[in-house]
Amino acid sequence: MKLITKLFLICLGTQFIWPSLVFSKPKIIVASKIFTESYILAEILAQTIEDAGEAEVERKIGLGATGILFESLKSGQIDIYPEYTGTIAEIFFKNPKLQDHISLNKELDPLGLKITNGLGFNNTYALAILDSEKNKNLDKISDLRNHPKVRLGFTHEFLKRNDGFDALTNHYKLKIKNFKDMEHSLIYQSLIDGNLDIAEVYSTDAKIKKYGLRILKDDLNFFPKYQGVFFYRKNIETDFPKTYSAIKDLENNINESKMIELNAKSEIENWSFEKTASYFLKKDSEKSFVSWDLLWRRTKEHFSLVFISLMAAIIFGVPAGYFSSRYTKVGSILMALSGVLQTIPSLALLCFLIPLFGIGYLPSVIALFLYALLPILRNAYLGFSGIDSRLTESAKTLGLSKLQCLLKVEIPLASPSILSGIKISAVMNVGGATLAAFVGAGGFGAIIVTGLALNDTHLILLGAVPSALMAIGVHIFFEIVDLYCIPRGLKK
Amino acid sequence: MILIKDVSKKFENSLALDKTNLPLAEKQTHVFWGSSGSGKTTLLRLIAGLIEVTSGEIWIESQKISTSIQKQLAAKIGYVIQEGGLFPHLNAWQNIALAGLPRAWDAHQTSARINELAELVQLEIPLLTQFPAQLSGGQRQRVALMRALLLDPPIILLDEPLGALDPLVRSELQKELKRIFNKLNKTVVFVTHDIGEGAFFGHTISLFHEGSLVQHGNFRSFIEHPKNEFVTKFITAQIPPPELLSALR
Repeated sequence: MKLITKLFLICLGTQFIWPSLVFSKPKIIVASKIFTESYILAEILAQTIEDAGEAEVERKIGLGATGILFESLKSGQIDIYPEYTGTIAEIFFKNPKLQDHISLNKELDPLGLKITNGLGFNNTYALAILDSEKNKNLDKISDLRNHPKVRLGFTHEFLKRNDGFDALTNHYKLKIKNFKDMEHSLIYQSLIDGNLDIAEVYSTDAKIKKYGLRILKDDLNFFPKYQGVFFYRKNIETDFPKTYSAIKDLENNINESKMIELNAKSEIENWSFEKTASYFLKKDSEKSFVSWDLLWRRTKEHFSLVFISLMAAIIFGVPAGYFSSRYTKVGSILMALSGVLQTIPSLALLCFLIPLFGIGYLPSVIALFLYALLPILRNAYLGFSGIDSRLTESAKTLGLSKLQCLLKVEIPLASPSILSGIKISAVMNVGGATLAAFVGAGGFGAIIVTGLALNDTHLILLGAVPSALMAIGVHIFFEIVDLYCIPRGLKK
Repeated sequence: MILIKDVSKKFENSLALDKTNLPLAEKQTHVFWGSSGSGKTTLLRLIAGLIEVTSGEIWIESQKISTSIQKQLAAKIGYVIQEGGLFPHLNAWQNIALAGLPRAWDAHQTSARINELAELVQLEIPLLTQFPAQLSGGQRQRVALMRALLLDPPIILLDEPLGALDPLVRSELQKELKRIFNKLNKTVVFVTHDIGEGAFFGHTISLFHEGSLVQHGNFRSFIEHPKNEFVTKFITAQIPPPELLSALR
């Protein structure tokens, strides 16, 4: 008894320290470059991977410049980091024509590397103006043709680059005579002070928001694409499928204004990168949890957990119930065992199973199977043992074989009880499956767990309500099954 | 001819039947009489091969009965257990047809036989779609009898078939059963604790008490030569009150 208590306490304890210490999960190393946007994206990535629950994250935030990161990724010292399509094309392949992720991935494939689709924003050079009444008819860069007298400011670099000022004016056929090259940090101030009309900026710079600037549309596609993507080792896709799909969920979810907002949170409001990242993930989760896609995926996960475990419990429990009714000694042992299983708190049971089956889908299905077993086993046992012995004798006098007796007499007679056991287990498992999220098996529980972590009632309900609805649905389904499967003569 | 030779049956520590010898002639109705626990139902189940003798032998014609041949016996013996033993999840028709399953009867054959039997026991065909719970006690017994007769077995065993019926239905069904037995001309063993029923049906009557066969013979022999005090006590136990008898005279 003492041993059991101890085991149980150990188990409870491990629930709190488990993610970092007790069970060594595989690791994914997340890195970033040395500027705010890269920090934030890496932290978003790290939290997303952690939430997926398949792997631990080692953060190498601010590891270095592009070259170091690329080499580290190639050699496997890091697994993933935020990058820009334009950078990969220019720095790695010296080929600015590689614009879209398909052609880039083709080049990266032999290296065992890959990029995701765009995250939804483009961090490139851009021209910004004050978003004021005076500038309201300036919308795109080609509008500048009608305003040859505007004063333009840009960095020294922009003046010298091949794709810099000269190329821009050629491309758009602009005749701007009044321009200045200066330090990047001074450009904004000059714009605000009214010494400049137009400034060359980075399109997701936090200061755009801070100073109330507006970016002119690059309507003739002059600036190269610097789409934010995650750059990763391909084995992530196969080794961590759940993690991979969570990362894919980030695609197209961060548009420019969102990225500017996030940069501003960290740079201007001095939020920690962790805070900014969780702020984003919460906003994002609200958005994506309303998205039917994710809800559908969670529904499928949840349903699969419930369905597989229930099926296993039926396949094992009903025959076991039958044999228990025939061989009462074995039966009483089985019954006692399943009774004991039922008394183990579900989280503790999940915990017990982790050393045996790891985390994720399998231990969750096994735990749910064990929970579903008792009602099914017990009701099947009651159903079979409750059959009037005169009826089985009657079947015998008709010369029915054991199998005929089982199929034609015993199963139909026990069916109301068997079905009610299945119904109880099914409804119970829909609820129980929400706990599976704690070991990374997904389902509606994943939404609830995120909601709890963020203290977001809205999110908790988004997980809880569908799971309640599923429970009701399952109940109704089995009422219908009752209607069709219970012999008419046995209905009251 | 059913021959019971030195048959004893023990259940755990209690002796249910003690060294019983009994010849049961063909095509007659034999009544097993006795109170509950007297051993009469035990003997019936032994004959049907549902339980194994502890010692002794039972023969039907040239076949020695044991539980190992119970399935073959099912074609030879129709058995109506107490309260009919109808399956509540099947309607009357399905209950009867189930008896054809071990012989793999087809629907046509079954249907023809059921119609024939319905006429014999005078049960209206539409009632056969009803479930047992929807039928009256008397109707249920008719269905149970039809089921026992489906394979046209030469032997019919009935265990208190009328026990659960109210007196009016019971007396009506007694006459009905007797008519059927006469018509079928089968070997019938009829277990009852009712004196009148025994007298009414039995070509021979065997009285059991606490596992022993006390007396065997026709009803008249019980009246004229009761073997001992128990026999007298048993046959007079159900005599109507004197007031009723004088009123009837």
